[in-house]
Amino acid sequence: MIAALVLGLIALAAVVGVAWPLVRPASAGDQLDPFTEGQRRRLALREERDLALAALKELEVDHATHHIGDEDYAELVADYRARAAEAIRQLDAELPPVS
Amino acid sequence: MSDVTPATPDGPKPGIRHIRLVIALAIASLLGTFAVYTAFADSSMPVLGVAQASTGYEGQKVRLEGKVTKTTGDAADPRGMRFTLQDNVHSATIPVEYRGAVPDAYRVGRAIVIDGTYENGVFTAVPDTLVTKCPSKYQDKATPSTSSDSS
Amino acid sequence: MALIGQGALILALLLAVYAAVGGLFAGLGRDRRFLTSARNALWAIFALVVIADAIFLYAIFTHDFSFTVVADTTSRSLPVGYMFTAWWGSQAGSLLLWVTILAAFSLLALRATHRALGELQPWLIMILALIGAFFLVLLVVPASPFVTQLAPVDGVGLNPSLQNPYMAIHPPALYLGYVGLAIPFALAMAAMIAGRTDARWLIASRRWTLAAWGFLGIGMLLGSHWAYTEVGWGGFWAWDPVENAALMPWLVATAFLHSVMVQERKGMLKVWNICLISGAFALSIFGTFLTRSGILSSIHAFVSTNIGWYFVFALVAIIGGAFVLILWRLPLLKADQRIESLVSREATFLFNNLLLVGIAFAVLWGVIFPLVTEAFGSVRETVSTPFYEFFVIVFGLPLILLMGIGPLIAWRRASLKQLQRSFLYPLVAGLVAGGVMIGFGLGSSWPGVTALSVCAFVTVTILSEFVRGAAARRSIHGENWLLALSRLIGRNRRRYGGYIVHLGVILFVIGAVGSSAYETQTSGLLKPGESLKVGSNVLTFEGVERTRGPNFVARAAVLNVTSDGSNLGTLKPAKRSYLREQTTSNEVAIRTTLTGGDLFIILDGIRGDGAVQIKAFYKPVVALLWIAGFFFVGGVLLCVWPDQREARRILRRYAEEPLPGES
Repeated sequence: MIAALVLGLIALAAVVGVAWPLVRPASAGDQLDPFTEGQRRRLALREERDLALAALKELEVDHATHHIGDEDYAELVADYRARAAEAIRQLDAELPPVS
Repeated sequence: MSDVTPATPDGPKPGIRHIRLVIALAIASLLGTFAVYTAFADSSMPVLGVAQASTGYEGQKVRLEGKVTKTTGDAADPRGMRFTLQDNVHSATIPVEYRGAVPDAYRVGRAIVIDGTYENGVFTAVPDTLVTKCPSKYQDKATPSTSSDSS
Repeated sequence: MALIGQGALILALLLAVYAAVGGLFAGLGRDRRFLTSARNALWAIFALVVIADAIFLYAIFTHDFSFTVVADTTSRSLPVGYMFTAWWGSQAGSLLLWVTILAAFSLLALRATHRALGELQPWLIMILALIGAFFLVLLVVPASPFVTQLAPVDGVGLNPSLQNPYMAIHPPALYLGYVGLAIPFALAMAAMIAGRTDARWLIASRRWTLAAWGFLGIGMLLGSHWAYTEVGWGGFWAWDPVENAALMPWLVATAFLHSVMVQERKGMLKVWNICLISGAFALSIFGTFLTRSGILSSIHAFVSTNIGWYFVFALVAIIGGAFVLILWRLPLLKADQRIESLVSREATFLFNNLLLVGIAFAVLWGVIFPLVTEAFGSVRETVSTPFYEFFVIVFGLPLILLMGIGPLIAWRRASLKQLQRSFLYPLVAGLVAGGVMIGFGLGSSWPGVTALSVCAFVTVTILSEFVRGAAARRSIHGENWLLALSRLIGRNRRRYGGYIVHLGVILFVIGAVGSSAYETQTSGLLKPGESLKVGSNVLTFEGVERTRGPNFVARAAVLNVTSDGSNLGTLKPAKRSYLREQTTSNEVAIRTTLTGGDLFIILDGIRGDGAVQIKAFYKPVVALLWIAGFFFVGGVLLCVWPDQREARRILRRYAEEPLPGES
């Protein structure tokens, strides 16, 4: 009956779907490249840069809404700018990424 | 990983030790509250079968489990409801006096749970603590709890 | 038919095991072929599970009582709408629902991790397939929905108190929550296995955690509403194990939602966050089977059930696996920065976490206390409502206070001078509110006044955040108030969505405090014509009315309600007798006043001579409990709503150089 037929079809499709990637001829795109050390480092640096930039934005909002006084604001802004600059500097120092 | 904020050469700054201390104190006070409360407050009570309740727990507030074998009266009435509770395993019975809410599933033959004190040959129940247990597998049905057959 | 359903589940189980192995090979060998193969297996599993669902539902709707489960949970007289809900009316059926949701979510999660997290996909598949395989084993062996029997003429029927719209939605909502937590958990484990320390998995898991948490919260609220209107003892939460089952993972997930913000900004609390999400998922598994098995009634009950040991195995695997992974990856999980000041938002989040986990731990202790005392003591002991209420109040009040303090404090460190300015109005508001309340006589409950004053404080804080933000936009961008407010919320969805959720929590607390600490209660035996007074309302009993429903017969006490002379209508608390299920249920009558309070009436009994025993409550502001739900949902939706700008920003970061595993 219908249910048995549908089940049979799905089972067939499942077997094909599962086996086909394994039995078809191998191709170049079959390797999942792992992160190299350099890529990991650069990703971390980009994250650091973006975090510092986002924090700067948030800081501006916090200052405009009077959550932070001028003194603390100036100090924290300088700190985040330094972090962002440092991260960008380290990024540029690395070999430029392949695009 | 680039390290944009190097630690000071002589270990973590004193401010951080101060912060760690505060956090440790906070955790300690939470645990302390917990320990003190569970040790000193009368927060728990024994759960007993009918056979145990009448021996050695007189005058103590306990939670009683058993099966209803006979019931008369109306729990909403000032005179209350009187029923006989039989142990789920043995044949020991105990008379119970109860006032308060009665769950929908209550009937003779139903397993129930009730809180109260055994004194002078009668188990006097705390009002509104009657809870029924569904006889079929795995499921508790109760009032005032919300345990149900599906959730 | 049942055989085919069972066959589908067995096939799904085999495929799940294969997918786990395939994921492992794909991860170890960096082999895309195994990845594709395992992914196709997941698709097949989904299709097979849907077939099993279809067969099961078909059996329910065609009254095929040869299916034992169908006979146990439905009957011919069951209204059609509730036949659908019988799907999760049994242990086997609800496990089937769990697996269906997991299969669907797994596919969605794969889709979402397509870009930038391709490296995690093999491990993601492995972990999700293992979880799925576990549930499929349960479905195939101890808890099959396709067990057959000699078909009785009619089924047993659904418990009448479950024949209620809220009970229709409550279990699926909870299950969406329980299963939803599996995805962030799997992402965390996969990130650890792959050695990825960047925040990408955190960002990817955010929406899942929010959504799952939202479903758990709504599920609990729906359950509470059901308890209030249907079970009808006058309360909405009884600290029953099955209620606590959903509360515990929800509390831990709440902590997680807050502490990930700290990790995103400062790269700290990495190990803590992994512990939190593992704990939340473990509690969700614990919660799933707490509801379905009798293990907590006693150790003997536990040993005699067949499901119990399976779940112990699962819990050990989850906690043990997370522990091992954390130990292995500990060097990678070092904090990037530290907390700089106790007066910082990071610190308030930390304390918030401690309090939330504290409450969760206390609830967990209360839940397992009977088992522990039975195992290590001479007699089984139990705790009841006072135990739970103590910790909710003692840990919860500071938590609510923090909800008001947090927004006032900036990240990293706050200026004390600014803090004093920001604190002033809310603090004054709290004190004034407290004074006013005492003046109005609410001083009868000092925990109540304290809680409500803190709520006033928090409300002013949150509202001031909206005002200050909009004002800042106005001065910088020159927008009018409405535009400034909408742009403010639109550009900072998570922050202001969070504030809306907090407002929902405050409303809930006010409703809970108002309806419990300040309720009035009376009861009496009324003959026709006699009256009962509760609060400012007078209830006059007119007589007993009989009605008939689709599968029940009802007897109602007709009560005329007046207040200060004006007629407010009639209320009819009733007792219903369900013919097929041979049970009676109490139908309470509730009338909500304009101020959000409820007149709540229970028909305790009908005497032979026609007199009725009535219990009546007046519960102030209880409607706020349910209104809070709308704020909660609105806030969560706002947080979850896709933000195109932010998404583009994040993608740009990861697209700056091609990442491995992108297919």
